[in-house]
Amino acid sequence: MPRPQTRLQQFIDQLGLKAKDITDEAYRISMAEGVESISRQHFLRLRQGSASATAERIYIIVAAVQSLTGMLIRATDLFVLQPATPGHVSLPWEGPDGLSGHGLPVSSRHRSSGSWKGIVTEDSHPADAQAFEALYTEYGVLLRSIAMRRYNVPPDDAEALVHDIFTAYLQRRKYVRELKPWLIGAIGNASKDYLRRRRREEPLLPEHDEIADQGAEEHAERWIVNMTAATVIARLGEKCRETLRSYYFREESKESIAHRLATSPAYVLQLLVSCRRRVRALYDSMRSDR
Amino acid sequence: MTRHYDDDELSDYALAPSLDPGREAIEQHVAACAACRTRLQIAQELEEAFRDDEVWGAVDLLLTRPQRLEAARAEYARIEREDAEAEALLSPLLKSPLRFRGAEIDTDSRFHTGAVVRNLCLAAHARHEKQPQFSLVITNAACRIALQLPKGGTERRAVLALAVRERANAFRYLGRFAEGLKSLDDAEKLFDQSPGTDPFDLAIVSYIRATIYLKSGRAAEGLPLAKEAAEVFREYGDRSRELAAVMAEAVCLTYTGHPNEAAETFERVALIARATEQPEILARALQNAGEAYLAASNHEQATPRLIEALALFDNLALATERTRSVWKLASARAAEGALHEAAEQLDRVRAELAELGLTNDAALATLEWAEVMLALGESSGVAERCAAIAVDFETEGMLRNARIALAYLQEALRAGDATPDVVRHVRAYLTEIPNRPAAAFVRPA
Repeated sequence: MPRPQTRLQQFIDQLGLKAKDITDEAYRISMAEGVESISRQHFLRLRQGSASATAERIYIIVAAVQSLTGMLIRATDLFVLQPATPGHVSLPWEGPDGLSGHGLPVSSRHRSSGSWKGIVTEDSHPADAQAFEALYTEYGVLLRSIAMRRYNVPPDDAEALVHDIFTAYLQRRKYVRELKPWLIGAIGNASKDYLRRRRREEPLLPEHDEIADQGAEEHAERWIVNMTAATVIARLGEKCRETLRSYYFREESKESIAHRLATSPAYVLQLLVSCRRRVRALYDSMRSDR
Repeated sequence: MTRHYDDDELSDYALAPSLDPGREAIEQHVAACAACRTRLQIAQELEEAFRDDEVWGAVDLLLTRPQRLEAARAEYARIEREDAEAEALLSPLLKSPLRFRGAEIDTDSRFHTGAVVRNLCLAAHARHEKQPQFSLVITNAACRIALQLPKGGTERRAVLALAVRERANAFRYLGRFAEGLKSLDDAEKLFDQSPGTDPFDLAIVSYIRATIYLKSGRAAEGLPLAKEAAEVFREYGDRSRELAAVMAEAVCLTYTGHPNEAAETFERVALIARATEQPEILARALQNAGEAYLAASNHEQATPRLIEALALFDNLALATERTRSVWKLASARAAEGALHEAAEQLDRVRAELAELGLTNDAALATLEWAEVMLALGESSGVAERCAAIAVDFETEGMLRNARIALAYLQEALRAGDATPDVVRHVRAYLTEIPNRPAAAFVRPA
């Protein structure tokens, strides 16, 4: 049976684009941005649907297509992006998806803002109090992080802003159509307003710039990786999580951990391997559109 | 090529490359193998993340109950409860305008809650299209209730803003544009309580204002508003509203005489509609893009858009739109110089449009047919067909102006002075009447 046409295939056919032009442009952008490019063979496999794309590949392809056509496109225009782990509120990842219509900016300055929006691949309103609590807790961390890292809002104030956004959402939930991008748009504007008010009240330090902090922008990709990793780790069982923390973060030896857990170093090693596998599996499922 | 490495091996290598006994082999393999390179990169990302204090800080945040969670839960529970109560109170009343009016809910304190106002706004929103008078009655009640909510709280101002905006929408559907614009002025001032969400709410105001301008012959003023609204909707990731705003932008461009830009903008609409799998909007966008290309004398671009629109309308079983696509394809054939074929198609379309009850479209198609016939030098039957043209406009003034234009054409046909240009002039005038209802007909120079 013939394989159905991929969204990517349909899109480039419709625009009459050539694979070579796209991969050449992708190469040019990747050189400028210092990211890995995509080979023509890999691109052709993606087009046929015989390979899956990582977020970086999606980013580079969308950037190239946008650069060639000048059109405002999103990753979802070219790829079918799956929700993150089922049953959980989706948290950060995805590179370029859903620039929410900004199209994929070619410059790295905008890239991360797109990425923040791009994490939103599932977008339902919370159906009950429990779902709302999960959204508030998990998505709230992302929103707080945006306020803190992108706009340098102090942590306590960031939490207050996030709370206000959720309250405002509850008032408007019947006409907010795409919840998570909406929340991200809202926290951006709330943070900008916060900075404007602060500027009126007291002179701001250079790091309190209304425009997204350039340094933070440059580190945004790392930040997204970290937020994804944090979400994955928070979903592990306590034993796994604390063993990883002790070994990697606190740099405890296997022997010391074994002593504390009243077990053998070999068991700790085995535990580390299985926990890492679990992290890897969860991370992969959040990271790419498989 | 050597064998592929599994994730455990790559993780071990990522942990301490210099200590890995198979380092050289791994590095050689990874240099040549893109799949392993990607997997190694992920392993390295995770190795770094495991050691990063930011990651563990975020883990702890995720595991800690947020300080204001209790307050958020209480707010959620309150709004849920109030919404349910409001729905129970209102749903029997909203079944009929008579029952709703009779209940006089704005004088009954049971209805004086923010949730009732929100619920009324939703109810009105759902009725604008089919029961615009009723939706106005509902929004008026919503405004009166909002004004009676306790002063000082933020809820009063927030729900009043929603009610006033919805009232403007009701006026828009009723064609009471001046009152609609006045309500929008008021709504604009009221959206000033929530910096995170005000831009979004104001974008909805701008969008409604743009559509009112569009419908009242002020497309040039609507254009920047539609653009602005589209930008904000994009910022908030609201693709369906963005789509509507871009569509409004494209229509503004059409009405302000920028067919090329309009066509490009309709193409943007089509792109979004295609990506979001909205076939009806896609079909309409393609149809409009086709028409804009025709207006820009770019029939080569027009034809494929119109053909796709036709196929989509066929699938959607939208007979009137399908006929309009056939009509515009006939226009494209005429523009390409295939006049005989175009005349035959236009003759069929004219009859179909009349059969569908689309009087004005049938009139315009008849005029286009007449134009093509005169261009072919075949004037027989043209005067008779044109004499039978009927038009139907909302106001007496528009109808009178249309009849003056048609009478002029009749006179020219009888005198043998009618040329394709004369017919085109009359047709262009009739096309523009809904957008410029007060403009009198001027004979061609």
